[in-house]
Amino acid sequence: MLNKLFSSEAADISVHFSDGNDGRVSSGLQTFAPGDTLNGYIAINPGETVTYKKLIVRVKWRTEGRGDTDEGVWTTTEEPEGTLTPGNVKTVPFSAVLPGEPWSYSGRWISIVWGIEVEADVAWKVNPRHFAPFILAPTWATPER
Amino acid sequence: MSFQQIPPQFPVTPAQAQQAQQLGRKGAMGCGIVWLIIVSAIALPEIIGSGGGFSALFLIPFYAVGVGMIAWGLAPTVRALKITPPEIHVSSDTVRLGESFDFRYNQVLKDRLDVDFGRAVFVMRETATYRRGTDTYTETHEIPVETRELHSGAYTAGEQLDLSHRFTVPPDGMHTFLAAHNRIEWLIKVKISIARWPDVDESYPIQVLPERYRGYGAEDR
Repeated sequence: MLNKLFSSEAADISVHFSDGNDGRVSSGLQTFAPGDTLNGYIAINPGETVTYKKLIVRVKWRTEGRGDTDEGVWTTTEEPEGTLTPGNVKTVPFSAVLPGEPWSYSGRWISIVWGIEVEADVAWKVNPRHFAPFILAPTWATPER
Repeated sequence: MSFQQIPPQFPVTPAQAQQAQQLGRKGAMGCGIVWLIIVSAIALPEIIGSGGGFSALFLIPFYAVGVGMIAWGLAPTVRALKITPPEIHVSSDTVRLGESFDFRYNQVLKDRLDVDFGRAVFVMRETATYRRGTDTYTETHEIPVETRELHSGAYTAGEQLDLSHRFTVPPDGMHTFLAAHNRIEWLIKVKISIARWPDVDESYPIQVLPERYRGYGAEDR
């Protein structure tokens, strides 16, 4: 639902984590421990020709739930101006060493969600955008508390 | 770089919480006095001019607000007539998941008092703040972890209300998280209900670090 709100029909964006990652899969999501290295790439398959001013890849957390949203960006990677054309899948690699906190959390009123946010800054149009969540928690902890 | 977006002036240790509570009570008293002066200055000449009567009834809620603020501010002072202010000590302001800490709390009675109940509860609390239009709402959810209780009944002068206890942070818990609109806090909430005397109702934050305690005895928990 949220992904629909923040996505655009102009491009199909997907996030792929590399096999060589430190992480593991838990609850259907890629899971990393604090200090792990996150590697992967973004694949953008445009449905139409899109000229962007910059392409931004952020590793970030945000809160979800009852309260107003708080968020923090851990790393940002920017690609300079370019054009996406239908039929040509653009890939953008990313890599980050994850911080020690905050851990992913799922409570009654508050959830802390880590993810990779991709955004193409397009003039005079809705920016194509995608958020791919992952879990940041120590190996001995679970986000559901 | 830290991801904890701690709002300025937000108390994160028991000592800071005590200072904030004292400051809050002084502020409430000051506001109450100013409020009563303003209400009196605006309304009294009108009422005296009109001969009082029915219009004076309208003043009662306004005066009640001011008196309420002053009463809340004065509660510890009134309480101190029969019971000493709490002596609080926490063995560590910051603890790790799975770690134990000593919470020392005691008050000495100066006179006979009947205690309905008294407890210190170690809780994890979620606080979410949101705006709808121009109003701000706050939702909280508390998960009690451990409770230390006093025996209820009559206490005589010289006796102590002792809520000291060794609390343990659950090893699979969540660390303290303080952001602008969302907070996950660990608190020791002290509530002592005293018959016919101001109650004690205070909270003391404990900062839980995003680390696991690996010291002696950690494996047993």
